[in-house]
Amino acid sequence: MSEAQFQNRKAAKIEGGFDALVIGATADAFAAAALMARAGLHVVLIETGERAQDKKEIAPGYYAIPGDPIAFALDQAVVDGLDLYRCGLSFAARRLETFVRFGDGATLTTTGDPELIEEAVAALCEADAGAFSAFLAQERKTARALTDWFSGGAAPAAPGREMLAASIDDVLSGRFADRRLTDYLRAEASLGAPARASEPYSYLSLLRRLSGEIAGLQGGVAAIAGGGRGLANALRRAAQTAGVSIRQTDRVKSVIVEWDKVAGVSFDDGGQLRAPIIVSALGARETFIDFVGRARLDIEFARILDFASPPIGSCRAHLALSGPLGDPLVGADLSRRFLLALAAQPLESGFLAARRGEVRPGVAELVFPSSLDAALAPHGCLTATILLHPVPYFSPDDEPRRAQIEQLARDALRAIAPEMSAGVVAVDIEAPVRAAPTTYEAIERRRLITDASGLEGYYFCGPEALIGAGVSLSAGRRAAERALRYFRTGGAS
Amino acid sequence: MSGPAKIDLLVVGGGLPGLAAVCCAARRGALAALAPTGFETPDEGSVCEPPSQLWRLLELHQYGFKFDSPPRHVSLFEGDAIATGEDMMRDGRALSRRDAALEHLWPAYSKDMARALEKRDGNFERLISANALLDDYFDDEALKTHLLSAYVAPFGLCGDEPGSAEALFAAGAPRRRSIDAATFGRALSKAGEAAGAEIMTARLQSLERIENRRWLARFESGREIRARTVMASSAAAVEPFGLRVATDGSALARRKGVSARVRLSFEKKPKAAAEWKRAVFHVAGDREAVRIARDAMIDGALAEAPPVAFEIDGKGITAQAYFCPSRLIENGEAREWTGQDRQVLGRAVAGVIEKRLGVKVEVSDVRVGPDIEAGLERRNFSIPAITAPAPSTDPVNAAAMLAWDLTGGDGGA
Repeated sequence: MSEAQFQNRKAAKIEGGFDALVIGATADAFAAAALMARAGLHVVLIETGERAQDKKEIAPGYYAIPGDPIAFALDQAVVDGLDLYRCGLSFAARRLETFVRFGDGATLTTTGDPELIEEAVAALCEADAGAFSAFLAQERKTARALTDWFSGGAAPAAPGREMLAASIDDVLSGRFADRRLTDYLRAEASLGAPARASEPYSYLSLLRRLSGEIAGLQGGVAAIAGGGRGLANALRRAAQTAGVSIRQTDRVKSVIVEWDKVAGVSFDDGGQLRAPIIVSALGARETFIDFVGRARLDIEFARILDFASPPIGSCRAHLALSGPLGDPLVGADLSRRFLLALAAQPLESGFLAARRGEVRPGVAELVFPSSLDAALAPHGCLTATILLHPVPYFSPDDEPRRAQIEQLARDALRAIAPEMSAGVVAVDIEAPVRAAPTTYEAIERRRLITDASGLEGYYFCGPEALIGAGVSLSAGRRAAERALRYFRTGGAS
Repeated sequence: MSGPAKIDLLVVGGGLPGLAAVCCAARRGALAALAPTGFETPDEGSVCEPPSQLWRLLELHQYGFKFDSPPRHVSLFEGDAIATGEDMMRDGRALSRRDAALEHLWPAYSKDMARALEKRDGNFERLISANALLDDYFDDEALKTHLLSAYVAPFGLCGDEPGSAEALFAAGAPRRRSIDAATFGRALSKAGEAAGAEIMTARLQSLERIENRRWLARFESGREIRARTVMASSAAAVEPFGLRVATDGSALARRKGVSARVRLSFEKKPKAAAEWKRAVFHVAGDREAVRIARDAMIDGALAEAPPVAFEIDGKGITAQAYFCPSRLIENGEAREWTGQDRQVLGRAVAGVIEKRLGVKVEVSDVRVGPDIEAGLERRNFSIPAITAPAPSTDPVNAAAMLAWDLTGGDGGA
């Protein structure tokens, strides 16, 4: 051992006396840490990597907030349990309407409340209005019964295998006289999904989308003030109030396992933090293979981690627009959500192209954050955030691919607002997000990953524990609940 | 009187599966009738022999079938071939020439598939894609292509679809001999008559739900039948008609595209026929080629070199192209198949086979299966989905077993 190494080793500290460690800095990590701390545990949250910036200036005077400006689901138990409204969580807009632009140029403006959709649909197609509204009400009811399952609870007895295996097309094709209504629901369900609408199990992604509850409305859409950062800040504050100590580090080296129980984490400098409970919010492969190692894992369990998810994902683009939009239909009210819904065939081809690694139009979801927070753009100008799905998963520094995505974002904006008069000043592309696997597979995989690692005291709320796109905080809540049960039954002593 | 107006079980969709189902129900004492839809696949070639349960029930020994040994799956590659479908230990030994590890891995895989076939609940493998499952077991790309073309492609799937792994479980099913489809069809008709099943010739016109959860079927001949239970002989025979089916949550139901059957004639019998007797040949190239064909099918185009499965008999070759679009899309417009398209497809299939077998073949007939997608668009949601057997490589047995289940309990009362 060289002198320098010896010095390093001497400097490294071994700390103990904690009840639980949380690795990662996702919303679920903060939720899990805060919930455990509120229950009386001494919790340390280890923030790995760089802290995300609050706002990014994409052009002089134009700011973009990274992440999703709108949300579909927020676990009410977490919101109540952590008093998130008192920690700064607020909504910039609730019950957002959705303006749908179809492939043929027609439009549909839904109501913010799905209960009242009948009239809105009648404007598009009189004959289907009643059937559509009844169908949506039925689906929301089915979805409500599955909410607990989606958020990590036990499998429901009610829906048969038939329903779970159905594809979106199975459920929708032939149902309405106007195909565009089908296109709208297909687009809603396809956003963030890994599978085409004709593939089995895809129907669950529609139910997952309708099961989310936010701002007191099931199946609604709301904008959290400050976007994803707004939620993250509220959670950080909740964690700090609850007494979680937050530490920053570049990297966790490994998780210490003693007799099939976790005992702490070690860092590159040889330092250790010791605690009998660890909750990881990092990826499953990192959590189990990198930190623990295959040798200590059950073979069948390690095998689950090897099934790769499809190489497609979503990509978010932030656009700076000079001047007002100009399109009379879209510009009438910018504090809405805009959706580009292609017909079945082009969307299907878009998914296939994304799997092949080509960039083709798919579903696009457009929001104007500057209409929710005027400080994001210069007076009279706009910022827009477009979520594009599906796109091939790419490395963030792949310049040609970014140029293609930028073009796709510009095209999507033009497709939603064809008579746009404002110019695009700048476009900023975020790193792509992988599509969550098909819902049923994801749920089963989550069950296996969270239950079957064979390591006591090790809990997981990483991306593989999330079902469908978007935040919900349920994974963090479930991990915290399980950890607390383990703690109380004496497993940690 | 022209037959019963009130029956226990109505089997919608004819063909061998429909016949087997209606015979099975009638033998168990139920009043059963068979209603053809007009979308049945004709009885030709050979099918799997029925399982012993059906054999005994229908007293099939009286009909004097001729049995053939079970067909093997043979994939032909450039200067290479893989054959499986015999006893798993023997297959394993044959495969060990490619890779010594396969001698033990192959029987282990077969056993796992047999176990997965039995296990319906809590089976994670059912939810994943065939490619994921194959990658988990094997390294040999040619073997993976072979299994994909033999077990997954017949369902119109290329292996990346969620749930497509279910198709691979069929590799674990017990091997059964095969019998001539036409003879089997005649035998089933006789058995049905003997058992008192009514086999209609007029096609079904409409089906609706009436009081007491009963069904009312109207026929083209103007006749009406009330049935307590209705089942479909197969999803493929009933969905083009516009009825919804429930296949017990199987992920294998075809949702896109159609299968095409191409009959080819040759002057000289290819050598492969002598080398592998009783074989279904597969020519696919690699898994990527299967995916390209599937993508082309969904994009509404014909692949240039489609993956092909074929059998050789004394007079010619019967080939299947599993990945054909139901409608062709040109410049964003969908259109029906024309005679010219069928010729193009026939030539493409012939080209693939000629290249691999090294003999000259002529296209004599091209048939493109019924358009399921058109039926899906027309579906009637005011009546519930009718029960159908899960899609399988042995549809006759699947339909018979479903009828058996449906007529259990008070079915014969």
